[in-house]
Amino acid sequence: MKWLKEVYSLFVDDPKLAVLALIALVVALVLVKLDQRSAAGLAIFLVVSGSLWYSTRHD
Amino acid sequence: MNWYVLVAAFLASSVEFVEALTIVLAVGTVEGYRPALRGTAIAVVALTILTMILGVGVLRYVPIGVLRGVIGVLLLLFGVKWLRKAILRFSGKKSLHDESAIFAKEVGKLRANQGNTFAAQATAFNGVFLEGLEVVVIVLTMGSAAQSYSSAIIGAAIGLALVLSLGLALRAPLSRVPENVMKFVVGIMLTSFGSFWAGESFGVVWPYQDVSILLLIAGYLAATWLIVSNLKRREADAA
Repeated sequence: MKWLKEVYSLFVDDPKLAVLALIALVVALVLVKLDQRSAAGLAIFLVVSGSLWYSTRHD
Repeated sequence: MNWYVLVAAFLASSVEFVEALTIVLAVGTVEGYRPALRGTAIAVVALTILTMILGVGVLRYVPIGVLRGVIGVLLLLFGVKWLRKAILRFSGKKSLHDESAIFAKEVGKLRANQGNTFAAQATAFNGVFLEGLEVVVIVLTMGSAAQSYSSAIIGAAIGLALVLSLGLALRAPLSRVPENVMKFVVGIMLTSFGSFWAGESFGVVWPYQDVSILLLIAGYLAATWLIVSNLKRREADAA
């Protein structure tokens, strides 16, 4: 299972940040379903930027 | 040729190759270059097999729409991880990456165990394999998402040739390479590409198509600058 841990740590450093980045994509998906396709891109950018701010502030 | 992909692959792989070189040099300095190069060669073979299985297998059996979505998500996770570290380093919350210090630490660890060539070979293998794995991830994800493997491979190959020739010429860790700045740039690029491709696969309409990647890069650059300034101010206030 060590290799699985290595693969995980290749992509995830701060689990909270990873979850927030995934939430950004879920928000975008919801906006796409609501036919707000252009706003969805802006949502990804804003949520990811906010997540970085939150993660680094609470480090 | 996709220049975005080429530049990102070049910068990201150069950083990883510099880190791998430091470990191989440390092993070579303590135990000689035979175990160092043997460990490196085994790692390169293992990475080649892995790349063939992942690259050929995944591309043949996974539909491109699904692949782009998965790759976009992985790139976004990979990008925010790099960017977070860069923000912490530039704001002073984490010490800057220093190849000379890492080299000295590796040499110290190897000296404590001197004479064990198998352990030295394993150290070289681990270093090259783990750093190389990141290069494989970058080349495979960026190459397949942009459908431009040649750009990703050329970028990584230029990085390898440059680092290898400098390493052979200097026989010392490449501590003058501006690794921290490069990691910061790569973090911005990977986060931007990840946002773009993951969004596109979910049906997001990006204004001006690919030009949006530049807008995302500028946006994340501005956001990062704000975060670093804010963290620095907080640190100063706390002191």
